[in-house]
Amino acid sequence: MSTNTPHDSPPSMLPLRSKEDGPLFFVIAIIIFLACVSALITRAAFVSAANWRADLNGAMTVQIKDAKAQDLKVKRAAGLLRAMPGVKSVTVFDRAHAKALLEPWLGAGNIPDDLPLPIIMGVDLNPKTPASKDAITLALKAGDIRAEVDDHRRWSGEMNTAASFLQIFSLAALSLLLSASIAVTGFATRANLAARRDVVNTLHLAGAFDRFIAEQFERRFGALGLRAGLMGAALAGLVVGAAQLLAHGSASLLLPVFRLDLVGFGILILAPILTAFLGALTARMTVMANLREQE
Amino acid sequence: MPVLALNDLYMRYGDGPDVLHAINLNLAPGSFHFLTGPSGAGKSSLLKLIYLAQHSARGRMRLFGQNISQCSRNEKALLRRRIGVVFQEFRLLDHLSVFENIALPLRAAGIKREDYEEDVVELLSWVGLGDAINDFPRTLSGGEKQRVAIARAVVAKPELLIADEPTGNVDPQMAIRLMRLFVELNRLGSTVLIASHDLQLVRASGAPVLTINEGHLSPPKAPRKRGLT
Repeated sequence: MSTNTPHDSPPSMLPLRSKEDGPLFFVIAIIIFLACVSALITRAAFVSAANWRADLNGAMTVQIKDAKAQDLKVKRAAGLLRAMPGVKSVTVFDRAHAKALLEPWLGAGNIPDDLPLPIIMGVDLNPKTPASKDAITLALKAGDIRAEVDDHRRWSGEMNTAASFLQIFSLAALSLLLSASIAVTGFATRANLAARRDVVNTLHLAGAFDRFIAEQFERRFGALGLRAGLMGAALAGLVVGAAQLLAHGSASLLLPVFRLDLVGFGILILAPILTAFLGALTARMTVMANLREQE
Repeated sequence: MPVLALNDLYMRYGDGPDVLHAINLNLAPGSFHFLTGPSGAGKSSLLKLIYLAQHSARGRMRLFGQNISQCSRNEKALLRRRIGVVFQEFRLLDHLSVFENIALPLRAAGIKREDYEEDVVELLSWVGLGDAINDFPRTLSGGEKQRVAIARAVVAKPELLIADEPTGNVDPQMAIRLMRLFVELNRLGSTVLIASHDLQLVRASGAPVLTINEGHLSPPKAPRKRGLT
């Protein structure tokens, strides 16, 4: 073989770079960044919704109406509940706790000592065989304890609605962003195809099958999608990681909290792969359709 | 069976008027023809039709025995692989090296690099571009580009070789050298059709001449003695 032998792997039939690549790279990277953040929000929404439901459905609040209830009566009520099947634990919130709950509304020190405050008990239920509201009410009644049992049904319904809305909204945003990514890639492929008409025609006249020509664009846009996807996912990882650090210790009970755990990292790793796949597939379908249109 | 058979063929671009009228042409296997005619007479249009870059408006065309109107896209691609074309405007790809430009039809046909590498290098030497193997078309002169285009057209040893003004940008000595390459390919069995303005070269070849004028093709003139062999 001559010393002039060219490099070993055949180069792409398309130019390595074109002027359309830069803007397209950034547009896809931004879309993937938003898609990753959106996917992590979606996941956080699902996790939060599940937690809300578990918290609300897995517990009941018992309010002992007798303001002058003696400690002995409270202890008896707690003992009764603890002995019930389907009850995991019982926490008694004393008068000091009840005062603390009222202070944000009435102000510290504005609660007179003789103000009758109910005794509240938090009942954690066994998640597999939870005790029913009726069973708890009956047990307390049988023990001659006047109490009101709240199974959080009203809150639970509202929370479920809010959680469902958040989930649907997040999924819709994610779907829109993925659709935008596909549309942008399709548009860019068409522009690239028009710009590289010389290559397509030459390959066509050299006897290349449509799928061979499509593969050239498929590889190009797959690689571009992968690079842009990696950039977008890395940025999303940084932003979400920073948000996680900033939110550390001040996590809200209601708002979804980002988590960069195994699933979070999975989303960030999957995003560039999915982008490359969608980019390649979109490019292939666009080129094949375009070549057929010309016939 | 003729390599190419055109019967009462018409061609037009888009909705425009016919640019080729009632073309009748048979090219026998192993034949060598020149196609001449003034500028705008329809030479390039006829060649485009033959190398399947354009459709006929009406009439019948058979290529390598296949009725073109009944061919699928993939069947047409397979037919194109049996044709080598030297384009008037070269159609080299600027981002590919000379080697890669020449190897393009082989890559498009799915042939592995190790199976064509030596052939391409040898062909490059033959057209006098052995030292330009890694050069890019933008660094080549018009004549060098033309030689690359010719090398690309013949690299797959086509059954039908079509050339549109293949010697237009080279000096007379190189023109004769390239014509000898076409004659050699013809000897090896390729059917050759060359469009050329170079009447001196056409006469010197002694090959039959097809003349086209205003889209009408006249029957081939009788062959004379070949001067390039």
